[in-house]
Amino acid sequence: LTHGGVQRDEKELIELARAGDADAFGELVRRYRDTVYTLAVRLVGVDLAQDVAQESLIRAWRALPRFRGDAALGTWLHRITVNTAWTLRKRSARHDSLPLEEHDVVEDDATSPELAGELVGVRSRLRGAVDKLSPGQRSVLVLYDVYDWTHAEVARELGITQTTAKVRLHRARKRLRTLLEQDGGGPT
Amino acid sequence: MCRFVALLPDDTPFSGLVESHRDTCLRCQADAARERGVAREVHTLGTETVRAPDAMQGRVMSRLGAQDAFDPRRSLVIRLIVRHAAAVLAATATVAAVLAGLLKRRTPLT
Repeated sequence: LTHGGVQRDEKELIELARAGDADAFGELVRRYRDTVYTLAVRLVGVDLAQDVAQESLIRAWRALPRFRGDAALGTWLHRITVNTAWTLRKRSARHDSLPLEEHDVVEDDATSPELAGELVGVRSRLRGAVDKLSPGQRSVLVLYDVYDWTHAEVARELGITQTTAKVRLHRARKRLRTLLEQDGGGPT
Repeated sequence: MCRFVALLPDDTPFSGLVESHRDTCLRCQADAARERGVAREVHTLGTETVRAPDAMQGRVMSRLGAQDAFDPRRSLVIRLIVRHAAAVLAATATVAAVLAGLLKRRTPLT
């Protein structure tokens, strides 16, 4: 969304979207859809991720008038996605997750080509192993180890105690290690 | 795995006893190092982004509807209230039952 040929900044887009401007919200969706979808894939697997991401963005639109800007929009959207994932996973009877296709994954620009090549294999094994964790272990592992949330944040957003969060993380890492070792290569 | 830790239930790795044991147990330290290795590998997933399906944006925009200031975290809040309310009610009922029992015992027979 441009204004006189200049790309609008996020703050302005948020203000417009809060006032009900769907075009401004559409631009925010365009900017954040991949990060929301990525988190959804990590939390519930690729087969349910689209439903979770769509529902999260629609809930975000409805809730925008209440968004005060205390946290960054990305962080706020992540929280909504975590909560939506929890709700939709409960409703869904599907448990088998389809594997993620490599061509859907966009590597970070900062990664060197040599390292990127090496990481593709490691990440593919990791994704497969993470998919095999229980939903509770998976959520804690993803939020703590991938997204750098604190134990307190994980506990608050998942509605569990900090001790439970720590225990789940410990069990998730242990199980992941076993799965990776069974797969033929342990962590480096 | 260290025999001492293997004997413990799985939810006690954060007790002070286990923590102080780990400080001196080489096997536990090696185990913890391997766990950190897993965490490091998992962390690399954070630098990749999975591209959302092209149709997603259109689907979201076609279902926007009215803004109603619905709090997306409401379901979580309700869940927590229900959970704690149930615990508080159960505790109150237990205390009331105990008090009733005590009072009944102390009431002199006439």
